[in-house]
Amino acid sequence: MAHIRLRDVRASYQVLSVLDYNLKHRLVDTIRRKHAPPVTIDALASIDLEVPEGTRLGLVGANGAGKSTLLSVMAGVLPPTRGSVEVHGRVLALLGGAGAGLSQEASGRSNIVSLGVQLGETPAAMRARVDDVAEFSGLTARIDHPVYSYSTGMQVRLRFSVLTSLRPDILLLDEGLGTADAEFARRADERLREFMASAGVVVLASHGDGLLRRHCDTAVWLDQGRVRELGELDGVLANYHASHTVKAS
Amino acid sequence: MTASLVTEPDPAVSSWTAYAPLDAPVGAQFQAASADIREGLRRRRSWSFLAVENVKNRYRRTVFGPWWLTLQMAVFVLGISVVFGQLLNTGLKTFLPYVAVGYIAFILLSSLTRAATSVFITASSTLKSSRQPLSSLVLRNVGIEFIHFGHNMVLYIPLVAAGLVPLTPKALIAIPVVLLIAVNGLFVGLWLGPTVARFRDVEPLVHSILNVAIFFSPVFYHLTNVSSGVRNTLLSWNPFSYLMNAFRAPLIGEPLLTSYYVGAAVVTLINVAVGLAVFTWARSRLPYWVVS
Repeated sequence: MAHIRLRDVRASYQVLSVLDYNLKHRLVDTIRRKHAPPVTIDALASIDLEVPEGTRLGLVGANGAGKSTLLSVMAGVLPPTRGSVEVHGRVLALLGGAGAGLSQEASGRSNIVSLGVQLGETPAAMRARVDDVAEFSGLTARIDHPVYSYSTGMQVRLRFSVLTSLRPDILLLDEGLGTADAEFARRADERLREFMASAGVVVLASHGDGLLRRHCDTAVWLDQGRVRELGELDGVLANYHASHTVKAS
Repeated sequence: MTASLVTEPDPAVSSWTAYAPLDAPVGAQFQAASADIREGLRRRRSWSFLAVENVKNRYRRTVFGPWWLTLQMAVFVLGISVVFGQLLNTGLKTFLPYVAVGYIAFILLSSLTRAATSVFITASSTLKSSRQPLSSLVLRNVGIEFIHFGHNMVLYIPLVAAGLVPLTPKALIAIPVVLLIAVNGLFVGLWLGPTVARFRDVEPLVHSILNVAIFFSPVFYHLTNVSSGVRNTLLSWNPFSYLMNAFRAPLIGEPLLTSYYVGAAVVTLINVAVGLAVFTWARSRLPYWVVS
């Protein structure tokens, strides 16, 4: 039963300057009793959220509202500074920059295997499906070229193809496949639909209404690290957009 | 409040709780850190595969691959043995195996330490993209260094073939020492890695220590060549020298001094204790230090 439950989750970043990363500076400051703790930012202030099986959840909100941080917490990449995170089911996430987790010198084909192994598959299981993943990625002959020669969109396609081939129970997407071309986006849509038919959980953070409407039915509007509204997608989107038209006028 | 984290992925992917919220009590942080290490060790097929891939990719466009390093090592050891052998008036027949085996062990120890400093900074993009035991990143690095070590140890074969070292059952004592070095490689990564992720100026500091460490280690000279004062002050405080001596002595047929093995055990115990303490403190905090 794939589901996610967050209770009173807070994630605070310390804003570390170059000097904060410096041990000598820290020691001197401590001796002079001048040490001031770095500024902290509550990326997530206090989140209570229940994401049951079969949910297709969209995350909306301004830049810096906490969408990516929330995904990182759900993915288990970022420990919360407080609160509890329960994740039931296999989570896979398309987070970070385009090439995150890829080895730039290696070919696309060998990255398919390494990425799968990094995500917990055995090398043998990945070798068995490498051709299917390569075909789905649509990278054709480029699949044997080193990844540093790939465009941003191609790297995202490669990662998406690997991730979805692993049959996760919970799929987390940050800005979906913004940089992939139309043809791949169509196939990715199909794959996401198949995935959702098998009652998985999808959480998608995006600024694109079209993308959200295609894949989500529920939405959370995040505002300064808090849940401002949770409900049916169209209603949340309408209120979210209304909030900045009011501000603008 | 009592902080808790429950993860219960499908059994095929394993269930593990590798971090605790930052406000969790020390006990919970320690449990999370040790769960991370256990999960890392359990995933040995994964990190050993990734270590091999890393070495393959690094040498993809070269003809000899990692054997280049072995060749460099052979030339260097031969050159140094001839020059220092002359300077110290030592016969090449005994000095060559001493330098060769000692230098191979020293390079393993210093490379493990060097890799430990940057492990989490270079893996920051991986850390951001997927949940995985942090210890598996360290173990992958240990794997890479041991692949190089395996290639370098091939140089031991001509030494045996030329009859420069006696091959006795005593040589097998080197095997547990190698395992001890691997344990040290893991735990040095678990304390030095997070330390550098938090305080970046520790990395150049460690590198400059490593650059001079070879002169304070008995690689190019014999312990009997230095005065007992130097021996006791500099060398007894050098953790590398114990592990190196413990590894070298059985392989080149030198007497196995108790001090080597007691020293190696003490170094390992301290390293494991510091590693567990720092990793307990850092496991949950580390992602925050490398994401920005």
